[in-house]
Amino acid sequence: MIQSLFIMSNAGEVLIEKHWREVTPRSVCDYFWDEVCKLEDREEIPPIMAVNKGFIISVYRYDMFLIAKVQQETPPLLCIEFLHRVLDILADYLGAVDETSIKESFSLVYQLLEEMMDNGHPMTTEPNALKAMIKPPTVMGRVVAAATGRSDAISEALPDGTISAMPWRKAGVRYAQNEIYLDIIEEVDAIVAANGQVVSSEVTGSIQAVSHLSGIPDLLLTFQDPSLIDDCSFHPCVRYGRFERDRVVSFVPPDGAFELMRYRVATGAHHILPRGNIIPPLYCNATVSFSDGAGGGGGGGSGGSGSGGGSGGGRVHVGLGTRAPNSLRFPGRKTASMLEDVEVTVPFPRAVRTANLSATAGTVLFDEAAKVARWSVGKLAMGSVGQRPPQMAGALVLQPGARLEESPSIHVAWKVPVASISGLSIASLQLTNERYKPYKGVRTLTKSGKFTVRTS
Amino acid sequence: MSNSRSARSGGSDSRFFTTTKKGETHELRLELQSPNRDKKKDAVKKVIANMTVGKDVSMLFTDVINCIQTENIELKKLVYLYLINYAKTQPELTLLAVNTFVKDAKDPNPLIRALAVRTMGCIRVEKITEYLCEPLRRALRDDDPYVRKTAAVCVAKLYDINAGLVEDQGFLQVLRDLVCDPNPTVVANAVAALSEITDTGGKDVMQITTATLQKLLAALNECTEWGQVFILDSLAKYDPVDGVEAEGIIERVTPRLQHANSAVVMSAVKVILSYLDLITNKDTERVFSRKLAPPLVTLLNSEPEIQYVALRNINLIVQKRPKILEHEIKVFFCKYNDPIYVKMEKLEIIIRLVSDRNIEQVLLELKEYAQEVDVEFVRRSVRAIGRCAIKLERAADRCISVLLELIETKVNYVLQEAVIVIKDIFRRYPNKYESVIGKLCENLETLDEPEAKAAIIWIIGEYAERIDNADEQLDHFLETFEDESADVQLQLLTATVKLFLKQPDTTQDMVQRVLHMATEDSDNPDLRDRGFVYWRLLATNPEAAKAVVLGEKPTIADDTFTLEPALLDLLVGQIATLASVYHKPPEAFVTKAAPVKDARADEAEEDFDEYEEEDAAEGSSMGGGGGGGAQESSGGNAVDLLDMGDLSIDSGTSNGGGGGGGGGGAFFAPSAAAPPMVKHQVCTAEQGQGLQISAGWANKGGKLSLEMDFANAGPAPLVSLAIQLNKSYFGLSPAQPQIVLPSPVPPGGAASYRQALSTAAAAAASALPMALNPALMAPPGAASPAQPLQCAIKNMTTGAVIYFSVPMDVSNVLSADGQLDKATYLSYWKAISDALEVQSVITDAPGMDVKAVTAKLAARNIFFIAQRDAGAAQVAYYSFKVAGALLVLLEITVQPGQIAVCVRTDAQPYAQPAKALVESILRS
Repeated sequence: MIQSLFIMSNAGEVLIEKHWREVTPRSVCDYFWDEVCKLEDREEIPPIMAVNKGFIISVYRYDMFLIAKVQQETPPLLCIEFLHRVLDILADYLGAVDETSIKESFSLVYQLLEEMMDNGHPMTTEPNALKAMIKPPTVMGRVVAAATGRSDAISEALPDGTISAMPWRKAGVRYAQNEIYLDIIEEVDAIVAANGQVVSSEVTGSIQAVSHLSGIPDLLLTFQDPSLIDDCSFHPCVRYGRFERDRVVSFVPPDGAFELMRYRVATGAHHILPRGNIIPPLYCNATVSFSDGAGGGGGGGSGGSGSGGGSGGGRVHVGLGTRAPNSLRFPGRKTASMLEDVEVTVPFPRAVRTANLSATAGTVLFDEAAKVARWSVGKLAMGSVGQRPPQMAGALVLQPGARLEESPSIHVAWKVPVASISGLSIASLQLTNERYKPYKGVRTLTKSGKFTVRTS
Repeated sequence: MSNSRSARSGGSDSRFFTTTKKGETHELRLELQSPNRDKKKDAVKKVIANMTVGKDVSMLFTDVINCIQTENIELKKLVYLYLINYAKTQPELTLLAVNTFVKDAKDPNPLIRALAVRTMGCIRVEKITEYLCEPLRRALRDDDPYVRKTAAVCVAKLYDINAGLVEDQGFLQVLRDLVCDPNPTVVANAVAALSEITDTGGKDVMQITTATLQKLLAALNECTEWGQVFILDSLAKYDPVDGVEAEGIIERVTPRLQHANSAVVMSAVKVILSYLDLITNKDTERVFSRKLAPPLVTLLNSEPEIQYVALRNINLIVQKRPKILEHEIKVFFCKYNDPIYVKMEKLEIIIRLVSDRNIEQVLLELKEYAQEVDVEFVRRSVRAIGRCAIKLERAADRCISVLLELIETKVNYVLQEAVIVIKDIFRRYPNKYESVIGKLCENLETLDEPEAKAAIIWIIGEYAERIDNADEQLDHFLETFEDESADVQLQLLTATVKLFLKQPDTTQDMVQRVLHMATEDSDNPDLRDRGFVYWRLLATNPEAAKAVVLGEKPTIADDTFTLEPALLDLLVGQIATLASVYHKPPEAFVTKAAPVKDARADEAEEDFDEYEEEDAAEGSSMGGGGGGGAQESSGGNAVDLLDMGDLSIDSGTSNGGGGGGGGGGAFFAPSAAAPPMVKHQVCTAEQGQGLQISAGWANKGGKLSLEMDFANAGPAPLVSLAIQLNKSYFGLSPAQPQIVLPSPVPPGGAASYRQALSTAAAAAASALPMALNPALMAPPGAASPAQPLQCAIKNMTTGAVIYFSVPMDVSNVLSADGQLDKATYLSYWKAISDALEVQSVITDAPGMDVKAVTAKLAARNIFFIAQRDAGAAQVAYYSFKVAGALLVLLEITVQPGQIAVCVRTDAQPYAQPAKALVESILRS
């Protein structure tokens, strides 16, 4: 089980240490930090490392390391999930998780950790149950605390929620206006080859909910066509058995925002999707070429040559276009939709010194330090023919003597409101157990997840 | 931590981090003593802040602890936090806090009750544990489930500090009862605590039965996600009776695969995989295993850290049951922004899943990876292409052509890696792809890594007859022979010899040069040996040389990172653990605490040695520890004689200390075989509230008894007494709890009669037969046989309880009738099972022969039986009897420099103490 937990800043400073068993010396953190420093990228730190006496399991998020030290055999996923959960809770309580906010509320952090884990076993991690025991800081509370020097972060009474059959929901919730919002969000992860062919694609959907409902509302969610969803995982509040049997989602929601369920959209198994991969609503062709020696990048185009002296040069060209969205469904309406927030990120290899880029639409920025170009394209009308496809092009200047040995993969972000890949739509959401009539809102959105386009 | 920031943030905690000024400690101390509650809280926060940044604030211990009596929970929690951190350094002062804990554990608010029990368990100070037992026992039966679930975890904490105490107090059974608690979270925590105790203690204390199984399955549906992990993990250790039961459990577990928490999913996968082997119906098995694929795939959409663990586990699953994920290869394709540790694992799985059906796609992917940025990943990808070729014969052509395309890119490390794998491909498919050799040879100059060089040299030597200028090529490498690494040198030597055997006319010079360099200029023994072997072969029998050097080579298969079947099976049972991540058997790398039994025995030996030098001071703490145990065991007797409930700990402590000094030294004084009985005054009239007691040991007819003389100086007549003994080394206990006086002793007698049967007015004597009771054995290491025996006597008339201790000697306890004849000894020895035998070797005893050993043992009533010679060693046999009841057999092997002791007795708990006793006698 987890012996100790350290919260470490991006600069290697230990902000919080908590020991549930014997005290672990901080030398463990020094070792960890040495390992971090050997890497170019913080994200590359291996999540599990063997140390002198046991193992350290870490996660990196919010520019922050959470490090758990375990001595005996411990399920690593339990540790990792727990560490992420600590960060979720801190984000929930503190607003933003960073060095300052943690230092500002260290005693709150300790109290939370104390409740969340006992003897190295995760205990109460439901936000609602925790908030009943430890009050989150409020703006008002802070003002009062500053004025009077008084703060009382702990509820005196035992919350009913801690141990009830519904640990996720607190009791006595009352709203004047009862409302529940459901967002169906589908994310497309894809790898697109340089020739435009989709190498692999994966669609994951989730239903994000915000519930402001009084009392103990029992909800029943039914889908138009439940066979569209393949493999799902649910929030603990959902009654699995019911879904297995009737393909309906029956649950008593937590209060506030939560993720009701995640699902995978079956690629290939159903009629909606062409067998194999999906066709994304936009295409992107990108080329990065280089030439040795002087004047290599001199050829015309918008960017102009930037290469000087003996260093090599190159050219980059990215073209975007929309495609007939035959794999997108627009439940209930026919209007042509827009692609929104389109953004292209090109991470150039280290060998590139600088780049001189321009775009026919939107703005393009080149980050010299990170060697990353960000092209914010904005909106693109879908499927319209008359539109000129936006392009971004420019010249690259390489470091003296360097050669471009690899072609970068570019990342494209986009989203399409109202649409979904699966065509999943909600047939009804019924409330029982309470007498009011809530306002119900449902939205659908399809967006890019890890959407990678390879260059040639 | 700048001042400006702390000023800006005003009311927040960061102001407590402001830099230390001189005299801050003093200031803090004043603030901690402040009557103002908020000032106090701020001061404690400052102390904690200092603790957090790593400063030592232990000197404020007393001041912080003084804040513990507060109504404010936040302040209380902060003080507790401090306490947990520093308790170890200030164990004595920590006791100051105990009262508050005990009080809080009775608070009407369950949150506070739970907090007290939880915190007490976290204070890893042995002394605290005595006070923990009562509150813990109450908390385990608390009405509020929140308190019960906290208490369940606390048992595991206590076990970690003092395993013996947990067992003595019967907490394990209470924990087992909690597995059937109506509240699912309590069930889950009880399971977690039991599993942990099983892990640390090394013996299974959980033992799932059919009844508990149903409870666990029911709780599984309702408890928290973490509880589900605990329950699933303990289910995985359960052995279903048959396939039907296994099937039933799988049915109940399967919905967990849909959980959002990856730890739950993986533990459920483990349960299903462990039970799947039991299912005989092939269709059912297929249905179940098909259900595993989607959740595993879903895990790959999680955070990278989760993906990593999932991939390591999937690697095992794919080896064990390749069919589960055979259609899912695409989800293992690497995304551009996957961390490198995820990419590497995905690559492994791709190779495991590659088949003739998907090879085209895989090759496109691998080629793509081979052009990425990360050098290590590129190399692995190139190598992966080679491994595909070796695995799939029909796809080898395609793989080779992809490799050639990659060679065209001229990227240095791609090229080197390609050469290495092509060598392996040649070995797998001899005489098939030699056409590419030309391409490889074009790039000879750029190869600078030893492994790549060695590979190309091997190729040149092997296919010398097909390479036009093989001799020139090798000659070129030979120029730098001395600077090459050993691997390259070995390959060069072999390749040159091969070339010579194929083209003897043109290469004689070369081969002589290389043999010369290898055998005379090199100091690498491998190289020299191989050189000499070749030289001899070539000189004496060129045909034999041909047969050896150019012989058929066995073809290879791709088994990189493939696990042995036995290990694989073991690891599949360990899915979701660290063992499954490291692909090593669980015991190979995670240090488990040694099994309790052994640990105890070791401790007993160590402490025993120390005890000889120790004086009474140490004895007192032991007396205290035993107090709790005595109290517990009194429950078994018919009457709670001594009413020790609240008294025992303190009074026991002071008493044990008082009497300890006398007996300590007496242990090893030589004593006659049948010592005359001596009675010591063990209790004066003042101490005894009017009762004066003398006591001594008598050993008559093999029966040990405690003889006591009582003189009554009190106001009331002495009619009846009850006695109880504390734990002792051999667990002596009175044969009956009542002391029967021949006749009442009237008050006021200063006159005391020593005669046992004297009926004189003021005094009486009584002989109390002794028996042995394993439950009264002191915890190992806590006592020595020479420890004075602590007794408590209750005057049933006045209700006064008197504590005293009686000096002991080993010869008191070991009876004079321990001698056996040879035949009896032999039959007893054989009757005791080998498993009950304990043994050890002493190396630090003074050089002794059997005679000396026998003399030494005889002085303590350990009797010699027989002796035989066994080579350099001499083996002697002895027997002795403890308290006239327990027979112990002994075999001692004397060798120069060491003495081996082997003890057999059928009363298993006594084996270790008996052995320790013999050892200490031998050492004296």
